[in-house]
Amino acid sequence: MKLHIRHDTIYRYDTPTQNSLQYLRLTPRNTPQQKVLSWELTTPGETSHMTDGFGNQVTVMTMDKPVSEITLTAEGVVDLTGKPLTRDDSPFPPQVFLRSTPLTEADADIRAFACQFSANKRSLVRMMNRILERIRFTPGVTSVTHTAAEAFTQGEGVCQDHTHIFIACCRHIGIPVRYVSGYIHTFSEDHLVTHAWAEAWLGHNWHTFDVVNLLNVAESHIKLATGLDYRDAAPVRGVRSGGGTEHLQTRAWVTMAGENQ
Amino acid sequence: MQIQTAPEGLYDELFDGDNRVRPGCRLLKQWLTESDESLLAEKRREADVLFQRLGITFNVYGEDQGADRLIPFDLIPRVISAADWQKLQSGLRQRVQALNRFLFDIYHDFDIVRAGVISAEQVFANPQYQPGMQKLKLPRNLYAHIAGIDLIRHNDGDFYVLEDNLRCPSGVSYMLENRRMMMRLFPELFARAPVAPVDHYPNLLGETLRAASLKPDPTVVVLTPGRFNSAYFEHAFLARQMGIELVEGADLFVRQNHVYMKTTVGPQQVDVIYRRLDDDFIDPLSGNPDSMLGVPGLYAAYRSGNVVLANAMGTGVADDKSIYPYVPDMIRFYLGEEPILRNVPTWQCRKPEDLSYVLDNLASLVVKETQGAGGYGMLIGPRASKEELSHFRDLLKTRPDNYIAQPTLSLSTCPTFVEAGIAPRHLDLRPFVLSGKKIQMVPGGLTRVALKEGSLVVNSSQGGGTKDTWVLEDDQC
Repeated sequence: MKLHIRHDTIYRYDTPTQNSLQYLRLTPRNTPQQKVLSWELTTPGETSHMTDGFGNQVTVMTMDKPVSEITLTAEGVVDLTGKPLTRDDSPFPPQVFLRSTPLTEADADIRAFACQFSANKRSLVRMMNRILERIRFTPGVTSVTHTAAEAFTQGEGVCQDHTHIFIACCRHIGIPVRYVSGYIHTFSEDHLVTHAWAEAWLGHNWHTFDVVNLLNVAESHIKLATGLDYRDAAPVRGVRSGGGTEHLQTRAWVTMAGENQ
Repeated sequence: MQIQTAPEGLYDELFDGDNRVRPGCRLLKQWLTESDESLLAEKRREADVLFQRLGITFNVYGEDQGADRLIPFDLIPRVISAADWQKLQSGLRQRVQALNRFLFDIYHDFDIVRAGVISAEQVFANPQYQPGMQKLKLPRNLYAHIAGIDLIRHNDGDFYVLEDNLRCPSGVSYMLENRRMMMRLFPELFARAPVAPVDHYPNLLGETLRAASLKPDPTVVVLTPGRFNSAYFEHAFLARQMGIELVEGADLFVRQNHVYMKTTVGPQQVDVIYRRLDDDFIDPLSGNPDSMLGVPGLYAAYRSGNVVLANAMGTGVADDKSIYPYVPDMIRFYLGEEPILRNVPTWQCRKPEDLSYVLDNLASLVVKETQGAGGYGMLIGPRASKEELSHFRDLLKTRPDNYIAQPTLSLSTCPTFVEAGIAPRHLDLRPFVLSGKKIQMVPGGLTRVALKEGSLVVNSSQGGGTKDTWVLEDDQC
């Protein structure tokens, strides 16, 4: 399935920023599950590249002149092959993904919740359902600094929160699990296409768990980056000096290649 | 002055079990016997004033004021014979070489895990393991350029390694200043005693840091978190001694994956950063996003091979207390040699059978947090109250993997000038091992001493002091 993706990220500042530096994980890489047929990341700044420890493609962008708006545009075509996840696409042994992080630390409530489940696919699918029941999908009530424990207490959040809670639970019961950021193709119009989900290691292979969509196969998912949590895989992480209040607007479209937008 | 001797069963650095002066210590013993108390007291006051004037102070975390404090300096040196040092030196070389090989391995091919010497979970799930270091090529495959190895001497007379410090080991400035102070207060002693010099340490450190880069004439800087850090004095001291710049994060910037230092004549590229801040603070875009201490983009520059960090990121996994029990096996695995220095026997509470032994014998053991440092979060069984024991019992049951336990060792003692006169106090030793083109160290290290009678906690944050450390060039004195 060939998908066309366009993703605009626009930052506007009340007063011009003096300078800024950003790590952009906005370039998908080739895997057995996805072939990148074309891809272009357009930024207003000076760029260089690196591959981080997880194998993610990172564009490092510097702006050293005053600007009041930064627009990042990622666009391209990716072919999803439909092949299942395998064991060999990570540079690490899966045990790396057993460790909790500040964003995925399990508190007493999460620990009590997680103990009802065990390390097999059926149980984790059940866990995914239970998480979505407890945590209502509500855009705008949590931010990127929210921890799994905070979202679990609050009872609402977005895909990032659901994924962090799923990760906190898995790690608590000894299952290696990683955070994935990317895009999803859906036929409904009201869904965000920039997305986050989890991949858990069950004995011999990685398995997809998309909590918000209650999917356990990645048939319409395009992977941008993986890591221990959001911080490792965030599409954009940046620092700036000056700029006052920041207003962020993101727009993204994922369509069957060849369709009209 | 009268010298009080150590209680029976302890190893004293000055006297042997029959109260005879140990080889190499006759001169020191004679000097102590001849010196009267008022002279020593006066010299001590002089030392306090000089240290205060030099600004050799440190901050104690957790104290209300975060106030600068003097680390108490003891006038009576600790002596290590030439023969003992020979053995220590070979043992330290061997150990640090194996630790560097281990670090290279766990960020590349995982041979030691594949061979089943240590479990994958213990290495890779360790919070100090840095996924960001995966397959990064470092000059000479060196990770721990500067290592501080903590040793104690047990009552059997042997040195044991208590802990490896491979992140940002501190204390070397005290080693250097203590020697300067002693030479200033008692020049006549050094005219007679064949004490090996240590003042070339900054030269060796500079040489090591330059060797961390493959460039012919690299620019090296010291990166400090700033003057509120407990070891700021040392950062400034070492930079000055090496004649290189002391910088804070805000003095550096990254452009096109290269690191530059702001100077009055424009940007200057930096090749090696002797960083004295933790992994998580190096770059707010890869670690702690709230940190203002590091340099945005530094990780990308490091990952791209355009700058070297000393020590490397991710060295903490090798000095973690849960990995410590495996160091002798690392030496056998990577070097095919038997360890020269011994480890303290250690129970890993993560193992059910070890945990049950520890719970049954808590009152006789020392329990430490695997992630702890500075003497915080530890239990000394024989000295603990009922409440403390029961508190630790709970902690151990809740998070066994957070703890290790060791027998309560009898750290050796050394005569120390305290309120009660000259009395034995417990001490340890931290030599600093430098890995560059070759492995080098100055003879000796930092000797820390527990000033309270009977106390085994030597950490400066817990009321410990320091002494000059004399490695003899000749034991016949």
